[in-house]
Amino acid sequence: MNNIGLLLLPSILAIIVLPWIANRKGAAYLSALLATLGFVIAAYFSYRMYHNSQPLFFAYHWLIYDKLSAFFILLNAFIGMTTSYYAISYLLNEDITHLHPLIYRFYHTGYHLFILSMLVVLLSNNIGIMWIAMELATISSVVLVGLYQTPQALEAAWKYLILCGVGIGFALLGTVILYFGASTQHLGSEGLLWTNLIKITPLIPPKLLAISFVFLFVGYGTKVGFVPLHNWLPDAHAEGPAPISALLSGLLLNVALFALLRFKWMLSDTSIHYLPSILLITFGFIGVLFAALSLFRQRQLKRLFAYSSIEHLGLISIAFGIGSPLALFAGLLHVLMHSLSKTAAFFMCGNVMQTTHTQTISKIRGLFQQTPLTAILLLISILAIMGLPPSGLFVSELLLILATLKFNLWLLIPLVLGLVLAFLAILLKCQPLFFSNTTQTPLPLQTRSNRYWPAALHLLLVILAGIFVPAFLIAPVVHTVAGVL
Amino acid sequence: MIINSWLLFLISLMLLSSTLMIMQSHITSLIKLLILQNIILACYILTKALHHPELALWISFAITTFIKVIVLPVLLWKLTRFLKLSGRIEPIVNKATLLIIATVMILFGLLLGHKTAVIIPHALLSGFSLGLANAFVAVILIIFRRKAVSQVIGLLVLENSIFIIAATLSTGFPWLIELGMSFDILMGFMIFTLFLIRIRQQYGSFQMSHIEKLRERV
Repeated sequence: MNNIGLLLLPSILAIIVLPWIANRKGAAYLSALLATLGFVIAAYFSYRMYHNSQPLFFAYHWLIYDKLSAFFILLNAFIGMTTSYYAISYLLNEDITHLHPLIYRFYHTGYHLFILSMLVVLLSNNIGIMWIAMELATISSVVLVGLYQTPQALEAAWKYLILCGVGIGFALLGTVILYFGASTQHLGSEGLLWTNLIKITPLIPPKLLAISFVFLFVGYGTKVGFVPLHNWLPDAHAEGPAPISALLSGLLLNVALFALLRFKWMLSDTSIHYLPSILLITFGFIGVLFAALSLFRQRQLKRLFAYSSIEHLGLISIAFGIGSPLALFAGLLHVLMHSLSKTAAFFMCGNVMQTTHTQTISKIRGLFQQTPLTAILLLISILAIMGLPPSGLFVSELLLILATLKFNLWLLIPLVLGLVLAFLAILLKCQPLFFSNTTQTPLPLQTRSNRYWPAALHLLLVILAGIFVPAFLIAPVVHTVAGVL
Repeated sequence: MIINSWLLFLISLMLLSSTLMIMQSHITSLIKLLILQNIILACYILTKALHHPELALWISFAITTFIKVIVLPVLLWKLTRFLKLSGRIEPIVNKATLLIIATVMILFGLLLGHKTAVIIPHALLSGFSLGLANAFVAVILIIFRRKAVSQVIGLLVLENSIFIIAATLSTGFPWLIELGMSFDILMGFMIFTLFLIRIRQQYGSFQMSHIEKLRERV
């Protein structure tokens, strides 16, 4: 018996306690405090896991805690914590009329439910539980996306709910077929456990596995935002509150990709081990090229970053698809760096929107003149997202190029093309934001505390990681996963 | 043998009800057909439970009956009364074309099912293929309708098809998982309802054209 169940405790506590607190400020601080507790617990367990070779199990082996999940949980808990601090100032600066007090309570409960459900996806060893948690993550984030209840927010939330509902339905179909495959080996309900499935997949007919994986890929791929199933993603990112856009982009997409990585890992010993790789690489490239071209057409700041997320997730899935130790290292480093820099960018988008009350790129000018600190942080995050040195994304993209070079020379052409196009598009769109002159004066704010440091901390980590690559975080995970992939 | 035929009959009835749903122009008849489909699903699981008396199946039957035959219909009915849903739904394409598309999708489902003929035992094959076909019909129901309510119903039909496939292929999931899934679906439905009410308040109708404003503009 071990105590990894403690990981879930802060979120559960938050879900129970926060709806009862009427004081807006108090609730926001308590939410941040509990998220900090969550991060401390995650850091402690991750430290122990990295010095431990065996995975830990919990609740009848339904939950598993290995190095892969430790890595993702640490990232999730860290971003969950900084986002909840950022949300304190963000929510106080929102119009009182905009956010009804009841909705305010919904926000914190929904937020922690969202964090909890993602945590359960990362911990689940039971593929049924994984599905349930993923559906719960959809439902809780839909509420958060539609929080403002404006026509646009309602539409975005509706589209998100319907598209991901259909997607997640297909993932369930894939799960059912896989469970049926396991039942041919007379495992009973144990056949849902990932640790058992990984042992028996070589005995299950490959055709059945292939059908099941395709359904799972479509299902969880909808949540990753693979083109052409990406339609919900830009709307949901653009219309939700900034902290939620940050969580969607920085965490949820990774979590969905994590689920696919688990299933890929499961099929590594079968005769169809190439299928997940082909699908991930193909859809990765489609995503990168499509998003790079779409970036040129964007007129709104948050939509621009949403398309950039599609591009980066494409890069990560290419890395996971290639599956060599170098590619995995690049992929995991990219997960880490992209999450940190993209959340920082979304935080700053929130700041920009609160001072200018618009997110239309052509209406935002002279940010350095209006809000210098926000402008500096936004600029650094944009430069990081474009993959310029010394950000960690430069290192991860370089490593990905090297891994692709080793894997197949021809694939380098679309990859470099995608990277260059995305670079140009973001440069073209974002350059006028900062340096032109403006007559606009920034709108007054209620509070400035907690408004900048979360993004500054993220960007500091991204730059530090570009100089001293955090191999101590990634190498053990690669070691565990690459042995089998 | 008779049991197998009866199960196949039930699953065919389910597909028939989904196909009928595609042809409906009134929201109320759509809801009635969905309730009928939920009852068919419960009957299916009951038959299985009577045939293979296992605790898991009985619990599964209890969960399905409680959530899909009692709670969801009551909620749906209250929702129709509350929102005064009696209007017609205009599909994007005309009914004849829609039926042809549905037939093609059903054929596709059957073919996909028969691709697995070597793997899946013969007795289960027809049930599995029909379930798949039902899932595809549900997708059509979601794509080719202009009203938000019919999209929700399409999603519920999709969930039904997956449940029936699960019940056909194995004796269903372990009960705790099934409870979790049903709970998720119920919660999802509640959220849908909240959004439907908000959409109605914002626009005065459920016509999808109102909520198709967020499009890429070149």
